[in-house]
Amino acid sequence: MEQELSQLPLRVLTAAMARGDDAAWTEFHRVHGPEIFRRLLAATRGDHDLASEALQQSYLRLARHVRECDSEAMFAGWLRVVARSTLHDCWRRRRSFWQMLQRSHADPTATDFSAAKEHRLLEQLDTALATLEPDDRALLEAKYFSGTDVRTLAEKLMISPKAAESRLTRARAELRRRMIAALSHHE
Amino acid sequence: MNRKEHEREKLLAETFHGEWLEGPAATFAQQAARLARQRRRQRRAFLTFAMAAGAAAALLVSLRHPLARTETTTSTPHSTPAYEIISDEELLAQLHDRPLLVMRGENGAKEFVLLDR
Repeated sequence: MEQELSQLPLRVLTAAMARGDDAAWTEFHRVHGPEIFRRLLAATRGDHDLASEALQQSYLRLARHVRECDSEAMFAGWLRVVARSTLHDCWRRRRSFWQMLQRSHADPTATDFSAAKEHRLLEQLDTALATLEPDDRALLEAKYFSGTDVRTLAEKLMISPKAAESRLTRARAELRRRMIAALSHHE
Repeated sequence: MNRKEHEREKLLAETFHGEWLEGPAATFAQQAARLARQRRRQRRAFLTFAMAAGAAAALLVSLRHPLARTETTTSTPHSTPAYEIISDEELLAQLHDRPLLVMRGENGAKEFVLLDR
């Protein structure tokens, strides 16, 4: 594994975030950002633009209210609440009132966070990954699941690190294309 | 959060956002850090201002306090006296045609009570 999940105790991390410490926010983004984004992406059923906007707004809302905290459970719960309420606000800003009512009538859980949606999203990720070309899949699995860094990957493939980066980018783009297709098909 | 789940989340995040720690998503964290610093500066400025305002108010009150006491002292001569010395004629004029009770105390002193009040 390239890095440990969290290098700082939560109390230290949150206190530094409240001070506006760049390194603390980068650490927060590294450790907690992917989980927040996954929840947002699941809640929006793969609407990447809306999920990204909600992620950015969630960070800003967190910056306004973050305080020193040493309870992992409390902090995780707070992150969920902030992300959910921010997503609802983004949704309201994007949609007209009538569109929102129509969508809400058609599906009352449209933007709710739910374990089922998140589970489905990760299943779709696994499915899309499984259907990739074997070389692309092996490359992504080595990078993300085995924690192999790009330089080592490049050495194994006997290509330059830049070329390895390009292959990773292409593999991710293909994975993304397949996921979006699966998400829109499910919708 | 377990490690396997975190790995899949990171793959998902980079699939949609490019490099998570260096790409566009990383700027969200930098913006948040700037906002947190700005909010902290604003809070400190507000606290400093509030403390200065409080100190100024306390100083003003302490300066005004002796003046208030002086005003109280100077207003004393204008108050109504508790008793008034009148002449016999004025006393008789006030008691004219009014019922009066004369009570004798234990020490022999007399006390006069007007009955029509």
